[in-house]
Amino acid sequence: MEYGKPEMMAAAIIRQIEDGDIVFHGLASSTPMVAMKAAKAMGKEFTYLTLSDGVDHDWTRAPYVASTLTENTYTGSVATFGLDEIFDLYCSGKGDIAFLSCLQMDKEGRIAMSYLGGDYERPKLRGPGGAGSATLPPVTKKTTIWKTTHDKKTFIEHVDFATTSPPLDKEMTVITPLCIFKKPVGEKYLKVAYIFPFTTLEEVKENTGWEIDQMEVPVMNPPTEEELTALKKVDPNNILHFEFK
Amino acid sequence: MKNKMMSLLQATDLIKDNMLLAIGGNAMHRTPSLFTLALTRKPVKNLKLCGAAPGLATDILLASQQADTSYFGFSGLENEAGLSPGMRKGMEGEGKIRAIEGS
Repeated sequence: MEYGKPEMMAAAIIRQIEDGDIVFHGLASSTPMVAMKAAKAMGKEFTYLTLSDGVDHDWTRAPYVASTLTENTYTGSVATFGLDEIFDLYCSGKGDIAFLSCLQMDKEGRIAMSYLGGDYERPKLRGPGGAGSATLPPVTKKTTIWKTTHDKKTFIEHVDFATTSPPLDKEMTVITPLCIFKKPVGEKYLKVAYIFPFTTLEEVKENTGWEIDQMEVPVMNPPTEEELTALKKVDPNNILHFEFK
Repeated sequence: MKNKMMSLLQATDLIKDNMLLAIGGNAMHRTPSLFTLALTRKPVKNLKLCGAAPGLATDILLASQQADTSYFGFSGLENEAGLSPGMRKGMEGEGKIRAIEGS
């Protein structure tokens, strides 16, 4: 079965989830939404929380737009659990994964979501804001950032204003269309953990705004038949490709 | 029980200058957009707006410059419509609207 960058990123997201995990994504999160529905279709045993207040909604309900605020992230839920309760749960240390994204990121894994250019009072571009990204990484076991572009405008040496920065005592994972970066527990900087089968470490270096001094990194296995079948099954309207247009 | 039903325009009469309004819904979904659109027909000003993930309804009052402050965790229209145009107009560069981001 053929696959491209969207399917590879979705497979990486699926593999990030382990049985028993409590996993949350918020709004504007179509890529993790499709991947998480596919993980459910594959029988992974995890708790799926959404900003629609749903818990383990009926994953067979296919998304029809790229929003993650529609009824298909709530209908069939086993419980109603509001955003305030989700934040309380994570702040008590019980959240395993929060899927977040960013406008820009730097080599320390610091995320810009508030603004780009200028200053806070007079920004050149006013971003949407962190949407929980300041609160969640310090208390979440495996914060996972996905970003569907990988270039030197996005992954830069140093962000002007960090909406959040990853805590030293937690791991953080960053999934891009080319590779996976990880910031290990106790370390400050991101490292390339895997590259995807269709790229090279050279291409990753050429598209990253900080110097990567690694000489060799493992290649992640391509999406399996099972993963690709599950992605197709849960996403007949191909919402997975929306963020890659 | 007191009947609170009223027309949209009557409801907008409740809103006075400098009030803080909590606006429900998120991004493009479940926001009281017709209410804020009706409010643009009134000379009300210096409103303060708050919401967890304000979207369309809030952005109407940012675009009309009737609000001078917005409190939010995320302010936008999700992937399909992108960044909020009213927020960008009111907050970028010399824009006068204050962004109070709590995230």
